[in-house]
Amino acid sequence: MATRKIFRQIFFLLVLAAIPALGSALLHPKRPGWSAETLAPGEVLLKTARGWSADALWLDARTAADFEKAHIPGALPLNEDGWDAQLPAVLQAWSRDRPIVVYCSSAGCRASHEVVRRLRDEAKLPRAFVLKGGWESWLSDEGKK
Amino acid sequence: MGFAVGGIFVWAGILKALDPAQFAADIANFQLLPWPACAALALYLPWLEIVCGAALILRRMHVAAALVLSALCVIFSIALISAKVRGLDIACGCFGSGDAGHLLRALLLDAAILSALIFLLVSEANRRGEN
Repeated sequence: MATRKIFRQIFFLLVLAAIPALGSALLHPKRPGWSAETLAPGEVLLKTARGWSADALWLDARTAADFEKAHIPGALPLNEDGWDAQLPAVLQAWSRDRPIVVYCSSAGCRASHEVVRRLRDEAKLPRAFVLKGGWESWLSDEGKK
Repeated sequence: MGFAVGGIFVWAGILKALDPAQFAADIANFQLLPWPACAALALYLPWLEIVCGAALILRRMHVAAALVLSALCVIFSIALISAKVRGLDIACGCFGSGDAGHLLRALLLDAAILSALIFLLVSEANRRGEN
């Protein structure tokens, strides 16, 4: 009898928590999107990264020439070729509460994945993510404004 | 003890409920679930922690709440161990965005909280046995 009562209470608690959760799913300004099922491990959507409470540290994994032409405001360059020279500036700008978002030119490029892998494995920065869609997704989003 | 443990869950739940997008990314980092499941859990789990934590503090349905939270702790421990075994070096996301806590530290904290919950459940069982 007591066991049945506890199971009923568990069910009640589970349902009770679902009510505000449903509200969050519909109204929360920082609710996660549902359409990110194609995200590869370690990838993050632009919308998600922009919604993070702590300002992300943006890193540009494209070539130096591409970075010079244009980049996300505030982004720092960090790519395979200039790793040793560029990493100190990245570490100086990074703080423990700032997630890192790395981008390269488009959804098909791999440079950002490699930079994230090295940041996690070598620099021991676990909160490093690849921007899904890369620089193109940024341009596309800016174009909508 | 119930007040302290409940308070921890309410606090952790509020921090995560403030930024479910970040929490979803933290869950996705464990590479155990597809994204929609991560998103759904990120919306639901913080509120489950808050509701059950509040139940512990108010001592209303506190046995049921302790059982739910114990189950969460066990599942979380399995996810942490799985991440460790697979060599993932990820943030646990235990206390919302900005928590870059190390997995081992998270595992120890989880074990401590689970021990406290089990202590509460055993104390309650003994109390009911005496009455």
